Formats: sequence, C-alpha cells, structure tokens
Amino acid sequence: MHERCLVRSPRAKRQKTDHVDRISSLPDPMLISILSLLTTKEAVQTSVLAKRYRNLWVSVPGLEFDFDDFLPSVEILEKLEETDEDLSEYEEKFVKFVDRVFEHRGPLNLDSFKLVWTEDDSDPIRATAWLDIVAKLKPKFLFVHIFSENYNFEVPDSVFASQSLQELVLHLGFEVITPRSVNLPCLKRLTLDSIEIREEVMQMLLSGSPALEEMVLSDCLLSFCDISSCTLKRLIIDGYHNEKAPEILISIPSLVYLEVRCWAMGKLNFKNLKSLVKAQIQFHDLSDDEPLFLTALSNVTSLELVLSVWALRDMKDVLEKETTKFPTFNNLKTLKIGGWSLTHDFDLVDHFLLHAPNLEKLTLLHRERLTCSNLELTLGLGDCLDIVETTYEQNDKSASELAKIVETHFKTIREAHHIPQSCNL
Amino acid sequence: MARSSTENMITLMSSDGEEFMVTEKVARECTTIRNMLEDDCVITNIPLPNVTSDILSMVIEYCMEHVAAAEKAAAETAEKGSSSAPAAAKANKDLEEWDKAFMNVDVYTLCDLILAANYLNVSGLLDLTIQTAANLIKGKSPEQIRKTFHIQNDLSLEEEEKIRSQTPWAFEKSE
Repeated sequence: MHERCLVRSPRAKRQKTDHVDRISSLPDPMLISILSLLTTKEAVQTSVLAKRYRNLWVSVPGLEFDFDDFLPSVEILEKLEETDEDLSEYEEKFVKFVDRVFEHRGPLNLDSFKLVWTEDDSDPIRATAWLDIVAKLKPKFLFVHIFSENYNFEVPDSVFASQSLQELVLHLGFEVITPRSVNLPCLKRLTLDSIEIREEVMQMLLSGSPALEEMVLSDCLLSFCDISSCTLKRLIIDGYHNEKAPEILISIPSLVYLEVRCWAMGKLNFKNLKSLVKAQIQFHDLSDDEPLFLTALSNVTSLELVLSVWALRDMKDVLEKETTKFPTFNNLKTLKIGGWSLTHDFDLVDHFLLHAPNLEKLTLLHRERLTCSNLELTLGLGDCLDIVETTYEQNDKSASELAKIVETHFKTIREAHHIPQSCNL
Repeated sequence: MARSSTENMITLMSSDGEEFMVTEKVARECTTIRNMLEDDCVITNIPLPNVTSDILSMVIEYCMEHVAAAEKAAAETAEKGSSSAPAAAKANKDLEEWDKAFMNVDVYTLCDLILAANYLNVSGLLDLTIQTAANLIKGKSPEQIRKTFHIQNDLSLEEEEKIRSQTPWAFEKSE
C-alpha cells in the first residue's frame, strides 16, 4: 500500500472557519513564542489587541532594542542635520521606552537581551544601568553593540560576574573593557568586536571562563602577548590591530578549529595546536622570516589558505631559503588554496602537493588581478588525489588556461569540476 | 519515492477516527511518536486524540516531504562520495520554497497546525508555523492584526485607553 493514497487534500475538507478567532485560544507558551519573534516594541503593541493579550508580552523571554527603530525617516534626519539639531528628542524616547519595559517586567528572568545603539552623538550612559539590570535577570545570551564617538561606555562589572551567561557578544567602538574580575562559569561563546583587549583582561577572561569553547576576536586591538587555554575548541580572529604587542603567542592544545583573516600573519605565533583538525587562513602580509604558522598547522585534515599576491611573494621568499623546512601535512585530506593568479604561479601549490601525501581533494581559488612572473609548472602528485575543483571569477579569460594546466598536470585525477563563480577575498 | 517492502508501517489514527498508514521513518519525524516507538517497539497503531484528520494529513505531508528531501541528499552524498555545495544549496532552496507554499493556508488552519506541531513535537514544523504567524503580525497596527486573525476586541474603550496610557512609549510613532 502506498501511503500517499491515504493523504487527501486537506483544503477541500476543511469546514467553513471564516471569521473564527483561533489564535487567541492557543496556549500561552505558543503565543509567547510568536511574540518573541517580534521586536520588543511590536510585542508591547499587542497588549491592546484584546484582554487575552494584555500582559502576555511581559513573559517574552528575550528583549531586543535598537535605537535605529526610534529614529525618524531619512528626510527628517537630513533636515535635522541641515539645521544642526541633535537627536536628543529621539534619544529621550528610546531611553524612556527601554526604562519602562524594565519597569513593567519587574524581576522576571530574561533569556536573551540585545541592545544596538550606534550613534556618534549619543550618550549611552543608561546602557550601563540597563546591562546591570539584565545581569541580575539570569540571561543566557547577551548582545551589545554600542558605538559613540563622543562618550565613553562602560560594561558594568555585573556582566562579567553572570552565573548564567552562555554567550556574550560585545561590539564597541574601540573602547577598552576593564572588568575588575571575571567569573563566567557557564560562558561557552565569547565574541569581542572593535575592543581594546589588554593583557590582564585577556588573562582574566580566559581564567574566569572555564567552560569557554569558542572565542571570536573581530577587529580588536590586541594589547596582550598570549592566548593560552586548555578548553577553547574554536578560535576565530577576523582582523586585528596590535601596535603595542610585538608578537602574540597562541598556545591552545584543545583547539579543533582555527580561522584567521588578517593583514600581518607573522605577528601571530601559533604553538601547541595538537588537536587542530580544520584551519582557514587568509592574510595579506607575512612579515616574518619563517612561515612558522605552517608548522603549527601541520596536523590538520582540512586547510584553507587564501593569500594576497604580496603574501604569496613573502611566502615564496621564505621558502626559497635553504634553512626553511616545509612541514609534512600527513593528515591533510582537503586543501583549498589560492587567492592569486594560479596560471602565473603554481609553486606554492606544488609545495603542498609534495608535502601532503594523503591529500584527497584539492580546490584551487584562481584570481586574475596583478600579473606575477611566469613560472614553469612542476607537479608532485600524491597517490590519493581524486578530485580537483577550480574556482575562478566569472568572465575570466584565463580560466580556460587554468583548466588546461589542471588537465595537463593532473592526468591521473578521476574527477575535475570547473565552477565559475565570484570568489570573495 | 522508492521504499523497501520490509520497512515498518505505522497506522496513525486521528481524533475523528480516520487512519493514516505511514512508514516508520515518516512517523519518527514526530518526536512524540518516536518516543512512543522507543518505549514500545511493537506498537503499530497510534491513536492521536488531539489531532483532526485534515490537520494530521497536513502534518504527514510535511514530514514526508522533509524525509524525502533528507533521503535524496543522503543518496547523492553516497553516490558521489561527497555532496557538491551548489547542489545542496539548491536542494535547501527547493525545500524552503516548498515550506513557503505549504504555509499558504488560512489563519485558522495555521493555528491548528501550531497546536499539532507542538503536540506531536515536530520542531521544524513548529518553527515554520510560529514564524509564519509572527510574520503576519509584523508591521501591522493593532487594528490590522485583529482583522487578520479575527480577534474580537473585548476591551472597552476606557480599558484600551488605560493600557495605551500605561505604555504610551510603545504606541508613539517615530515621526
């Protein structure tokens, strides 16, 4: 028997249910789930729908406030700018709104809190007080994006002492965070964006967050000398600045996944990454005599390496030295490499092919921008190499050239896919 | 959809007594039923007194579509050794389109589906229906929301004014 025969069209059978209010008879938890997908302002507005909805919004487990929602239309904003008026009227409304929501909710616990207040001239002084309130409501998720050019914003100490917090995202306009102490026993994910992190703060964050598994540092000013942890599984560094510290030692034996996108790779000194399985590295400049990071990554099974032409030149300079030893990637199964014109320079790919005996899949990211010197190709081919994929930018005339190179030099490959797409560097 | 003849069939019975025969795999999409099957593996007939036949047939339709999509993806991966990213992205998009079309129902049916998805614990369907309901509220004035869901305003004018005056900050227009 085929089950499809038993499923009849439901729409034909439904009785006339026009103008019947069904939603109000849903149990509270389901209505609250619906309200929690609205902005906090929209959720509060449902209080006038009918008696059923009067106090329902108060139980929504997440609050989300964005100052942008309180700004007038673009035309009015432009007029305000012309007459040099400030936004204090709108700020007042926003502050009053958030204050009242807290007043109304009282001491009810809160699962998540999101605050976005990014206006050059705003004074986010109330934000510190709000976070202080939130920290007492046992939040699991906290997201704060505050940027103010003329005022300082301080993250209250209570946030760094939350016993419930599992994920913390702080995105500030290059402010320094200065917790007096850190005690976050449940924190699993920490994202710091555009923040100056000093030595003692990084040490406090790591030692005070014993359950931390993932750390994301995005465009931060790194004023510390090392990241050492025995619990961290994932580390993502997405751009960094480090005028003060000369070199940053990253020693995390528990790390499984590493992602780095940065300008200068040489200043990050990786050591003791013995659990690392997957790494994605993208940089513009090596500024180092030895590609030490390659040695640190040599245990990975999956590697993505995207280089600018300058980074490629730096890498090659270093590799040409007799003293340089290219590590053997015994576990490497998938390699994605490129970012430059591969028809002009295939050397680095060659190095990998010679030193990755168990490679199963190679993906080439071909980019045609600046011309490098034309080099002869010599390929060392691992026995296991199976699939070759080439990625190139659409309308790239050199793509067919690359296809030819791949075909000529990889005769033993079983599969070759050529995928035209825009590759983002 | 190809299916081996040895696959277990389960009969689900709706509140109005209609029987639906489905594969165990489809039935297991409902966590409530999966738990019942794990407690008692010989059970083949499951009464569902909280779900009417028209809603149950829709829940089954949803589960079948999602099981078929997962099977197709698994088969492709097995065949090629690895799934190609563009093909997987397309399959995801197709399923999203299917979900979207599936949600083209009246608000009464939508609410019944929320209840059924909650009772049978089909997390994908619950997320989908809750999100659909939220989308029907977003950007609307209270009056428009009442109209959409046929909500009778049982608040007197005075009561409504009182609520608005208690939370005027929520009703202020930005302009």
